[in-house]
Amino acid sequence: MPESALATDPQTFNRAPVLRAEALSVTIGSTPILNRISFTLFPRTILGLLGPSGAGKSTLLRCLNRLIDLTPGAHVTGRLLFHDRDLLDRTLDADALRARIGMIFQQPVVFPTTIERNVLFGVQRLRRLTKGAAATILEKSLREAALWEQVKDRLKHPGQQLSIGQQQRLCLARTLATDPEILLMDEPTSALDPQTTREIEATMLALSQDRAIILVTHHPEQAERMCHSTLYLDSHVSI
Amino acid sequence: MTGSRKFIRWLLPTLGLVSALVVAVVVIFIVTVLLQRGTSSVSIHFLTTDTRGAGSEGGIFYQILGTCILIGSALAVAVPPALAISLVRSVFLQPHTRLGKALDLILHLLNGIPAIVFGILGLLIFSKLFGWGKSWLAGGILLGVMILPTLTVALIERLAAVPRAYIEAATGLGLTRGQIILAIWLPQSSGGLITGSLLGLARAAGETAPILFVTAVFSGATVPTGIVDNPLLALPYHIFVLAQDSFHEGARANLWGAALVLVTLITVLNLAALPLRFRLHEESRHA
Amino acid sequence: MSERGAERFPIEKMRVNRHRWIFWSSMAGLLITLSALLATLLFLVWQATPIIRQSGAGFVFGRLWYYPEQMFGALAMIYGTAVVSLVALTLAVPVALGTAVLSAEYLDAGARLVVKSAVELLAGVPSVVYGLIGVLFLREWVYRGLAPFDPISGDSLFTAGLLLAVMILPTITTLCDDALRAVPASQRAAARSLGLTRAESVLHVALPQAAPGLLAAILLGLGRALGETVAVFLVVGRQDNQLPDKLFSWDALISPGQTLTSKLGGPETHLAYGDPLHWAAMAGLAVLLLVMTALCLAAAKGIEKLTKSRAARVAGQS
Repeated sequence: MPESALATDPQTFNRAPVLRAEALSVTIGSTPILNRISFTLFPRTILGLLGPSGAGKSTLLRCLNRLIDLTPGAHVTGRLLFHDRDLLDRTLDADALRARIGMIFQQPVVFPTTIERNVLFGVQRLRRLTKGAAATILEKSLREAALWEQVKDRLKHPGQQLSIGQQQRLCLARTLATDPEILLMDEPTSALDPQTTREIEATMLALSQDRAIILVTHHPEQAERMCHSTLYLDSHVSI
Repeated sequence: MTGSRKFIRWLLPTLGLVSALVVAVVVIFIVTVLLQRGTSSVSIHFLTTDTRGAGSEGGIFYQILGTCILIGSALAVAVPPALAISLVRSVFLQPHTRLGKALDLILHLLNGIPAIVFGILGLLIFSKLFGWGKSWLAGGILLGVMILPTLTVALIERLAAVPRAYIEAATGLGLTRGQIILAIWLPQSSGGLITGSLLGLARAAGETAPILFVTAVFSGATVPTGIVDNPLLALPYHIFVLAQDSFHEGARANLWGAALVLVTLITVLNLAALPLRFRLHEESRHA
Repeated sequence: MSERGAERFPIEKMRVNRHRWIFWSSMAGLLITLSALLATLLFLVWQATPIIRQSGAGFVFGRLWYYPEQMFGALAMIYGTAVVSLVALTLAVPVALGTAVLSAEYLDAGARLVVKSAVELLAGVPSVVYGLIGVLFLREWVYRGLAPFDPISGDSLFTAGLLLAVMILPTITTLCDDALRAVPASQRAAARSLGLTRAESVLHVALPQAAPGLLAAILLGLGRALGETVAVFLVVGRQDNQLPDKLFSWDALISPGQTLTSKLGGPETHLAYGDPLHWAAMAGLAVLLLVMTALCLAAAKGIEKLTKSRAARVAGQS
C-alpha cells in the first residue's frame, strides 16, 4: 500500500465513486477481448490494472475515455458510470469527455513542435485562453509533471529533443493541462529505466492527491508500491 | 463545445465529400461517354477489319495490331536493363549509399521526362542520325525507354521486400552471392517483373507523343517487313488524327469505338496487375 | 582426427566464383543504359546550340516566333505553358487534397478502396482520350460558359488548363493520400485523447506533419502538367504570339494560345527538319521543357529526402 495519508484514511473507500464499471464486455470483430468486467474507482486513489499480455488491459483503458471508438469493429456492452452518467451512451460528447478523463500512453507521443506548444496543445483548442492564463496553465502543468525546473529555460525548444523520460513527463503535463479528474496510464514507465521509473512513480503518487488514477502495469511490485486497490484481468475474466 | 469548433468539425468532412463527388462525377462522365458512344461501333467485325474510307468505314484491326507490336517490343527492350539496374540497386549496392540514392533520382527524373521530348529525341536519333524514316522499331525502343523506370521500380520494390532472413540463411549455408541471386533474388522478383510489365504495357499502349514522328502513320501500313521505312498504325495515333478532323459522321463512330477499345485494353492490363500489387504491398509491410 | 568436411569443403583456396558474370553483366547493363541516355540528352542540347549562339537569352525572352523570318522567341510559349499549368494546379489541388483528406482520415477500408479505384481509373485514361473529350465536349462547354466574355473560340489556355486539371488530379490525390497515411496513427490518437475532434486532429496534427509530402505531390503534379502534350495540343488553340502586355491577362486566358508542348507536337517539328536554325530552335524548346520538368521533379525528390532525414534525426534522439 502506498504511504500517503489517504491510505490510512478510513473514509477513502466510503466516498462516492468517481467511476464505476458494471459487466463491461468488449468484442472486436468476432473476437471477445473483455468479459463482464466490473470495478469501482474512488477519488484520489490509484487503481492498478494487472494481467498477462493480451488480457485486454489496454482495451479496457480505451473504453474509459471512449478512445475505443477509433477501433473499427469494436463493440462495447455493459455500464460505465462516470458520476452517474453512462459513458457508453452514444449521445455523449466523447471529445469533451476526453478532456476530463486523460490518458498517458506507453510510448510518449510528442508532437513535432516546441515544449510550450506541446503542453498547451489540447487545452488551448478546447477553450479560449488569454496569454496570461496560458502561461499559468503551462507552468502549473509542468510543475505537476515535475518537469518545470528542467525545461523552464527552454520552453521554445522542440519537444522531441527531450530524453525519453522527459518526453513522458511532457505528455503528462500536456494531459494535465486540461485538468482531468481521472488519469488513465497505460504502462507509463515500461519504456523507462528503473531510476526514471521511480521518479515518475513519485510524481504519480503526488498526482493522486488530487485525481484518481488507473494504472496499467506489468509489474506486481509496481502495483504493490503504488496502488490502493487492484483489478486483475486473466483470460477475459475479472477476479 | 464552442460554435466554431462545431463548425469546423462539420466543414472539413463536407469539403472532403464535395471533392470526392467532383472526382466521382468526372469518372462517371468519362466512363458513360465512352460506353455510350463506343459500344455501338465495337463488334467482332470492327476489331478484325481494317480501316476504310479514312475511318468512315471498316474497323481498327491494324491499329490494334500495331499497338500490340509496339508494346510487345517496348517490353522486350525494357526488361533486360530493368533487371540489370534493379539487381545493382537492390543486391550489389548497400541500401542507403549515395550511389543508390543517385540511381533512385535518375530513375525518378527519367520517369518524368515528357513524352514529347521522347518523340523529339526519337526524331533526332532514329530519323536524322540512323536514317530509319518511320519505323516500328524506333517506336518500340522509345516506348521501352519510357517504361523502363516503371519496370525497374517495381522490381526494386519487390527485391527490397525479400526477407533478410532468407539471405542470411543462404549465406550461412555457404552459398556465394551469385548463387543466392539465382536461387533466391531472381525467383522472388518474378512477381515484381510481372507487375511492372503489366503496368508498363498499360502505359505504353496509351502514348501518342513518342510515336508521333518516328513510327505512326494514319493509313497504309499493315505488318512490318523490315526496320527502315516500316511504319505502323496505332490506336492512340489513329484517335489523335481523327480527333482533329472528326466532321465525318461515320468516322465519329469509328473514333469512339477506337477510344473504347484503347481504354479497355489499358484498364484490363492495369487490373491484371492489381492482385500482385496488393500482395506486394502487404508483404513489404510485414517484412 | 582430421577436420570434418575438409575434403569436401576445403577452405584454403577460395572457391572460384562461377557466377561473376551476373555482376559484370548487370553493371554493364546499367552503365550502357545510363550512358546511352546521357549521350542522347547531350546530343539534344548540342543540336540546340546554333540558336543559343544566334540569339542567346533572346531565345528564351523573345516575344515573337515567326519561322519564315527566322524569328525564334519562346516567351509566349513559356507564358502559355505557365498559365495552363497554373490553371490546372489551381483547379486540381483543392479537389485532390479534399479527396485525400476524406479518404485517409474519414473513410473505412472499403470506401477507401472505392475512391482509390475511381482515381486509378482516371489515371489510366490515356491523354489522347482526354484530348478527344476535350475536343468534343469541353470546347463547347467553355465556349458557351464564357459567352458573356465573348471568346474567340472554345479553344484557349483556360480550356487546356481545365482539361489538364482532370489529368493531373489522380497523381496529386494518390500522393496526398500517401502523405497523410504516412503520419503515424499514434499522433492522431494522442490528439484525440486530449479531447480534440477528428477534424482538429486532421487540421493540427495530420496535415502539418504531412505537409512536405503534400508539397511534393503538388510539385509532381506540376511536372506532369508541364509535360502533357496531346490533350493540350487539341484544345489550346495553337495560336502563336499571344503574349499579353501584363502578367495577369484575362483576355489571354480565354483566347487561344500556344504552349511549349503544343508547338513541339505540331507540324513545325517536321517542317524544321531542313533548316538548321529552325531545327535548333525546336530542339531548344525541348531542352527548355526538359529543364522546367527536371527542376520540379528534383525539388519534389529533395523535399522527400529532407523529410526522411529530419524524421531519422528526431527518431534517433529518443
